[in-house]
Amino acid sequence: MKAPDGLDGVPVLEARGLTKLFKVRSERGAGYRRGRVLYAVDGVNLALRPGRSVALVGESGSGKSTVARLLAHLYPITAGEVRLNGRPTRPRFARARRAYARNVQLIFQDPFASLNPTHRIRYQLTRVLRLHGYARGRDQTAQVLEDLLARVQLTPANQYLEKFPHELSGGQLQRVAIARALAARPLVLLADEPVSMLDVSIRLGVLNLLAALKVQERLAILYITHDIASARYFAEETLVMFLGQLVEGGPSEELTQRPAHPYTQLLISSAPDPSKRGVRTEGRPPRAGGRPSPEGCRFAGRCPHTMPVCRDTTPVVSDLGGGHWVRCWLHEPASAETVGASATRPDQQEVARP
Amino acid sequence: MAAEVTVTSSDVGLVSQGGARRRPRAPWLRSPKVVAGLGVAGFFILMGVFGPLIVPADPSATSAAVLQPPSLEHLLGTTATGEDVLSQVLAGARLSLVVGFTAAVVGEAIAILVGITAGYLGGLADEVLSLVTNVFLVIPVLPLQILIVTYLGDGGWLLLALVIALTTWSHGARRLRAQTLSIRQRDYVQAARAAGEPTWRTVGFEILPNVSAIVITSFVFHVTSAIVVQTGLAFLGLGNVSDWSWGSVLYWSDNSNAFLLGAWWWFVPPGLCLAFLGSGLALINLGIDEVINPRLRTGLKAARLFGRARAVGNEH
Repeated sequence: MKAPDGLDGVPVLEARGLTKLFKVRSERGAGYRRGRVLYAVDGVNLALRPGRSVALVGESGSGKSTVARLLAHLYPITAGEVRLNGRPTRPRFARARRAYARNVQLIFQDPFASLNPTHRIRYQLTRVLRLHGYARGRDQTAQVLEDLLARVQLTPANQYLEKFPHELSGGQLQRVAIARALAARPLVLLADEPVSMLDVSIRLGVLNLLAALKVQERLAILYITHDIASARYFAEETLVMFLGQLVEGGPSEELTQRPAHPYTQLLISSAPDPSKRGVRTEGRPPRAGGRPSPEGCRFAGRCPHTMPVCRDTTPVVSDLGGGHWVRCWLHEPASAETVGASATRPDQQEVARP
Repeated sequence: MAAEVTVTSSDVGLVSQGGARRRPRAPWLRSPKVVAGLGVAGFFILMGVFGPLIVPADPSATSAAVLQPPSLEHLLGTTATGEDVLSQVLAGARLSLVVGFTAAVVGEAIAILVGITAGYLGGLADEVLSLVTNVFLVIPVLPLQILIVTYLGDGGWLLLALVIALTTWSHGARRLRAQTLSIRQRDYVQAARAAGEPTWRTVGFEILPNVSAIVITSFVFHVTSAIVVQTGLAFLGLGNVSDWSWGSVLYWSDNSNAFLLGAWWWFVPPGLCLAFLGSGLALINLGIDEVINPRLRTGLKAARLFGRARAVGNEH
């Protein structure tokens, strides 16, 4: 596994200042109360490169799935842009969506939900081939289908093609879902917690499959997970997300060995480790909920190291070297004092990156 | 290790099943209720198809034998003008069924169009279509139907069916909208959208197959209610009452005070036909409901359903 050089190369898919705002329905009665919005994703920058994978780690509700869906253009973007091969994209109609889907494919978390229960596997795969004009003639289509299933290690193909989704197991279904994504011959795979719904025993198989595809087909992969250990195993680069914001990022090895952000530290310490039985870290374990304050660090309410400046001012990004960066006042003690005094908002758009 | 075991065991299952066994396309066909209902409804459909061809006498031919109770000559007796009631019931089945089915087909088509469009598109389109649906839901349907049919006069069976369809589609539309709202959010619909499927294809091939059970039950119910409405309107003397239908038989019997005269053979047969057809169709619906919604199944029935399904599966 290559680590730091995973940050080189030209990005195929890039998000700049990606922001998604959801209107919040008031709990009493219908209608939207004026001004109540939720920043599900707030100014996220990330870049996916061919043959490399980036892991996006965060707890439930941190907005990581929303990032995947924004990158797949399933939701309209509130602000920021998604660049494919350097060009901004914003497909609105079916034709443009199809062209975009030829390059960027999303793999959903729940394979039982992402395949239509009323169609056979053959239909689900052939449909994608048809959409992109890859199905030419009966024999060739059959050959392509067989190759696709072989690539996700479902052989012999004709055992699976005539099945309905409910006749296959979760692991088999997720492989079919991956085959469906591959059928479009994409450059980028967005894998939204691809193994979290699977049985523990088959997770590794699916992860290894994705890793092999990454190397063999030079796919750029965004791997979304709540399990920071699997991020380290699978991805060269890891980004940590908390309540819609990226709080830390860098080469996976470096980030898991020397986590800089208190939230990352909590995430890592909350992963079960048999060799560290009985050891406890301070601070509450990660959990969903809590409304972030518009100003200040979003983690301030749960952080064991909260300082006064954390509550007032959004932290700036600090470069820790080697592509490792963090958004935390603990790493900017000097400016924390000056900013805390003058209370100006730092520029949060630019993330330090070589 | 465990992964290998899982894969191997399911592979063995796959191999032993081969390509022969399939999910039954219509599992509700195993339900005894559906089978019984189909039998009853099938009987009346046959009556509708062949009834007018096998009538023992011209249903409109009068004779001197007036108000005769059932006898060998007239199996269901005669009317006040000496017409054969059996012939009228047999001949009337066709119009009742044709109007009922046509109204249900057209009404269900409107319901699918309006309900699924509203549910899938959402936003302003949903608001407008829901408003229209709700208006049709709260309009008192029978007075409206009486009004329209009176205004149009005798426009033939097709027009009557269209009037019934246009006044009864709203229930189905509302149900389909609700279901579509839920299905629209599912991942496979999102996936189809993301893949760039055109909207009509997403609706027709991703959503519609998943609401087919609702469409079928809604259609069956629609047939019953359309036949009842058609009968009701004919009973009130609206439309052309010289066209034979179960409703017009009832109209003439009422017109001649058959009830006061004790001529039960005149109004009971068409009424029973209606009741049996309605029960048959309701049985189909109940059976389908049970298959779709397992909570409605009682223990014994569930065991029988699943037991049979398993037995069929093992034969292969």
